[in-house]
Amino acid sequence: MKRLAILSISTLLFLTSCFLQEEIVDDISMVTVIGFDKGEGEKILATINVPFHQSNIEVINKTYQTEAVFTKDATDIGTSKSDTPMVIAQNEVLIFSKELAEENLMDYLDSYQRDPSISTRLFVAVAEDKSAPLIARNNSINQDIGVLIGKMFRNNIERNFLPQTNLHLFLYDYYQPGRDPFLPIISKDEEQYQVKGISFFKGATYKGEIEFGYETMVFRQLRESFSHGAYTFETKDQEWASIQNVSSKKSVDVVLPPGEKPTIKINVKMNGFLREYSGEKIEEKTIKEISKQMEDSIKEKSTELLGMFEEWGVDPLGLGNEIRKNKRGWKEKEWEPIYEKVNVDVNINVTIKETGVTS
Amino acid sequence: MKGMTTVQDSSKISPFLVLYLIVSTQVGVGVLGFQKYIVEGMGYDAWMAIILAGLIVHLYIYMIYSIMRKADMDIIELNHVLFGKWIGNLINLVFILYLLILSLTVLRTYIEVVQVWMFRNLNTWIIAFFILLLVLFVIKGGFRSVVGICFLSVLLPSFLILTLYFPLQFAHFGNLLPIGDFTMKELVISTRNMVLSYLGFELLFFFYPFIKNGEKSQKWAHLGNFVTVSIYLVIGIVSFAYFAEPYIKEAEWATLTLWKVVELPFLARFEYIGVTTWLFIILPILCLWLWAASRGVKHMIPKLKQKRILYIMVAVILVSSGLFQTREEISFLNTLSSRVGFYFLGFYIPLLYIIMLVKKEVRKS
Amino acid sequence: MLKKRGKGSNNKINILPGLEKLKESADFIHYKNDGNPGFYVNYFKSLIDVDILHRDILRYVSKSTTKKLSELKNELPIEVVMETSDVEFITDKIFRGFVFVQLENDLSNGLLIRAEKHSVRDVTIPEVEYSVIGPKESFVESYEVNLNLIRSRLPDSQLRLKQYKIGSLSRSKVGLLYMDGLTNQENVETVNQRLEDIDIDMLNDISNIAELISDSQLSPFPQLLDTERPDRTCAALAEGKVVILMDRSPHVLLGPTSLIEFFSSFEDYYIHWILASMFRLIRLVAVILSIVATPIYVAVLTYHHEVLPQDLIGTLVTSRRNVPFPPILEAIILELTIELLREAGARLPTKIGQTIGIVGGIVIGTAAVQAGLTSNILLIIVALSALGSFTTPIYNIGNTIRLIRFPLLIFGSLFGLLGVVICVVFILAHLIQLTSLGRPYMEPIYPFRFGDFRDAIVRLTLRERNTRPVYLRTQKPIRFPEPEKDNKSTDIYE
Repeated sequence: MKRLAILSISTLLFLTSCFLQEEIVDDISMVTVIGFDKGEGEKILATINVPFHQSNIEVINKTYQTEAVFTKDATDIGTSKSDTPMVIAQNEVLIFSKELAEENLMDYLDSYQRDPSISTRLFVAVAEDKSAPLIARNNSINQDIGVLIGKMFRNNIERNFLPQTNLHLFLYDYYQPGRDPFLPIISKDEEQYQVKGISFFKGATYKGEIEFGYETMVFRQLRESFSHGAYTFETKDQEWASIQNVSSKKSVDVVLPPGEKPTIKINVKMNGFLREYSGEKIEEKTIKEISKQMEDSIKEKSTELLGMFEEWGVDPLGLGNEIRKNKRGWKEKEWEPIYEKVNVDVNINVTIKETGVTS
Repeated sequence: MKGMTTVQDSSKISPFLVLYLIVSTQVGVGVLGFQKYIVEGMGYDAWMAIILAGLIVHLYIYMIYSIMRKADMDIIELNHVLFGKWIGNLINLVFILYLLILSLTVLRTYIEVVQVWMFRNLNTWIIAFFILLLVLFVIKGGFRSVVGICFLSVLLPSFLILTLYFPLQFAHFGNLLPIGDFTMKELVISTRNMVLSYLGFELLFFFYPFIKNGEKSQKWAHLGNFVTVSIYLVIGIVSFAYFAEPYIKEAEWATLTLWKVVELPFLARFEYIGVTTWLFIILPILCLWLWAASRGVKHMIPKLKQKRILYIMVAVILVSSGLFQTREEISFLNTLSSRVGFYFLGFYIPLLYIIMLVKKEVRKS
Repeated sequence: MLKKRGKGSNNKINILPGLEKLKESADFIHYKNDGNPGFYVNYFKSLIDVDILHRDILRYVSKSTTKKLSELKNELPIEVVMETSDVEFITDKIFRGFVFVQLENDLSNGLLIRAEKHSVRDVTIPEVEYSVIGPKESFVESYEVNLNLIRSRLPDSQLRLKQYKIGSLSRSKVGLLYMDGLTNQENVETVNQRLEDIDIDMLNDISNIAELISDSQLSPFPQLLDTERPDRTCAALAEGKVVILMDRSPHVLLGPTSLIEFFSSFEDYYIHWILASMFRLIRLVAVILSIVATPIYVAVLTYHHEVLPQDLIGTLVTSRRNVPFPPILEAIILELTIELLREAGARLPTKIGQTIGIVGGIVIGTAAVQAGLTSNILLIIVALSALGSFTTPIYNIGNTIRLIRFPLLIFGSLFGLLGVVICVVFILAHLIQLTSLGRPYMEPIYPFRFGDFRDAIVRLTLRERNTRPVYLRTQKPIRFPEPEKDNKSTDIYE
């Protein structure tokens, strides 16, 4: 009898339990990219991309544009235009226009960092100019552009000179005292997406940017250790040399002499091999010469970068944080601007090991 | 001497299972968000508080064992003997209420986690009903069945610790530097908050008579506490290295946020697996606490059937779980239970220990 | 007590009227043979061997001139001949294939002569627990043959047999086998008690006994292992288990048993231990997947699209796009289809059964996907989980596995992954509480017994498995002395 009672209660609960909102995979619009631009007045203009999977490989990108006050409103309003409700859990990339980045990105990112359904591996990027043209009108691309851009970023991180970046790292740099975040800049050139450079932020406000290529390579070397990428540069003898990076190791030493200006030594140890050389002969001397020139060139570039950072007042290398690690009772305010309070000493050590295999 | 409630040998458990009992009661919903509370004081030196608090708990376990060894009866009866019928019963009542509030807190907090992370419009009562049904089912199988669930709840979710590999990819261990940047007051705050996270071991008072060769199980209890401390320490250090300090101070469930970075070829988001697996972790706590509470009442009023008491308790928890809806109300529940826990640890156990030290013999009145 | 009826005086009672009720059966033969002296013959045509009757009984009885039963008894070439006047006994024996012969001059006594017909099937190869390697004998319906198969493998005086007669109508012969001085006496006593307590009219198969003496009759999990292999039975006896066998049943029951044991095929002991361990692991993984795969599919597709990696989404979305049903309905339809196919296959002769399998598997599956009734991914999952449930070596547990999938499915569709976990915990809690003849069913996982893992999820070498499982609480925990370790050769062989 008792069992029957429990059973009937459970059945009753079952009957009244059509309460959870179902989100069946094929009955929702999974947003993969959202681009934000400045809209009318206080509003923002969101360009939302929803992939429609025609077959396993073929995808049609559907684009919606909405104007809203908050970032989350944008998808809600988007739902009213779409046949199925929009969900942002599968979001791969968020793109902000430069205009918005110059304000405060945290206004828009805050709702994303709070949303449990958002992955912290989400890429946040700044558009070269406006974000809408990047996303809209992509009929000729038969791939989900969210996945496409995401893969492009991952590619550049794993094989190229884009330093590690995602929502988590942005937030980490944003919150960690003595560090400032950066974001990649994305642009589109005739249906081809590319990383255009890196933009730097103070807090969450855009301050300046560097170009992708040699500058980002040097920046990445100063920021983190990595082990890939190749760079071709012109030597003093008007020859071209291509260096393959095997490993680039970064370490920081902080010297805190009492009563004096502290020194932060950034040591970069790079191992590489000479991939190609346009000159006649490759001798030991030439290799030494090339590594020397590379050292000088990186060092020069880093000084230039540090100069720019000082000018913009940003600290993407976490110099303040390095001081914090070594000084008790550290206060962020006391160490600002950081470039005036410390000496930064960059040591570059390039070892070119091989010249490839002759066969 | 034997207490009036001797436990049959067949329902006693092997001493080594105490390890699992201790771990499963200490690791509960607290693990999901303890970082915020300990960072409150010492900042990123709080890993020391994790260890220090662990040592304090070791001390408490030592005290409980000395009390129990001498008394050889469970806490309900001991209170009767030591404080007389009226005061003893009052303390017992508080103890049982405390267990009920703890159970309610754990259940409600877990449901809140589910509501926030998985189902926004999940009805509290319905899910509480099913979880409590499960609890009833387990307790009905007796203490052995409760211990079995404790054992499995340590064994099965232990794979979760492997997921910490993923946040390690983004770890900045420099965050922990400089070491030792705190004041005494901050140390006390962090340690206090941490000790409260370790609560659960006090149930030894209840299940001590159920252990075969109770005295021999002490090393297992200490080992269990050591395991818990290690779990907290590893999670603590990884999350300190992974998050920036100002962020962690705001993060409600830092451990869950850690999982947001886990990515496997067949699984994009791990939190969903984590939150559901966590049911394994909270279930033994509910079972053990409600078992202890119902047994406690049964000892106070031997006429009642434990089954009846349990039904009533479960019904009360079911109804009240739905009454706490907002974040503030749930935090109030958490604060309440930790406050009671604090007095319990701060005053009651040392008092009992001193009384037992002074008294030569405990005699059944 | 004998009924006082008939014309016989001086305490001599005629038995014939006592057999009157048997005559109502058409196959009961009763006739008088005139001669010197004349005699009566009573038997069931259907139960006796007519050859024996004519060759060994009638020939001698009709020739004989003696008027004494005891003398007649000596003249017969058959060993089992009893002289009796107990009507009840006679009736019982007639039902067991005896011929009852009475002499004209003494109707109060008679001779019971055994002439039973043995309808014995030949010992065939095991069909349910088939193995490539190892003995190919399986039990048959005959109690004596089965006992013979066991005894010939265990020619030891320790092997004891207790016999029962259960069933008021069927009066089935049930045997309880155990090794004296080895098997835990408590286990023997438990089974003994439970067998004696059975009060039933009809027993058809040993599975009836299993159902009657199981610890928990509400549980879908079999608590006694049902096997048709004599080698497995003997190994269980040697391990310290109790064996129950029954006349007219080609299976025997082993107990106490644990859940893990249901996933060990006996062939595991005949192949290399590493291979055997791997097969066991595969079987376990298959079973776990078979239980949770479909529920997880339903839960994830209904509620948790977040956990799907980008690369999978395209595949899933396109395969489901044309399906008009929610995942739960889709899954239940497919699961039921598979069950239908299994059921149909099981009821049909082997040859037709195979055809049904192919027709069902290929035609219905492909057609269902093309018609857009189900997604092909789910089809794969359901088919794989059905396959997984058939990997279990013991037939019963496979059925259980297919059954417990359904509550998981329903909860998965109601509460997503949380519902699946609630169900899994429920099953685990149930398994923890379950006992087999009073011994824990989840052993060696809970209670945790490290030593018993040597033959649980994996199988170690024979030499290393030199102890009997702890949970059986045998009187001799050591099977054979531990092999001596060769301490010398720790270095590289020179």
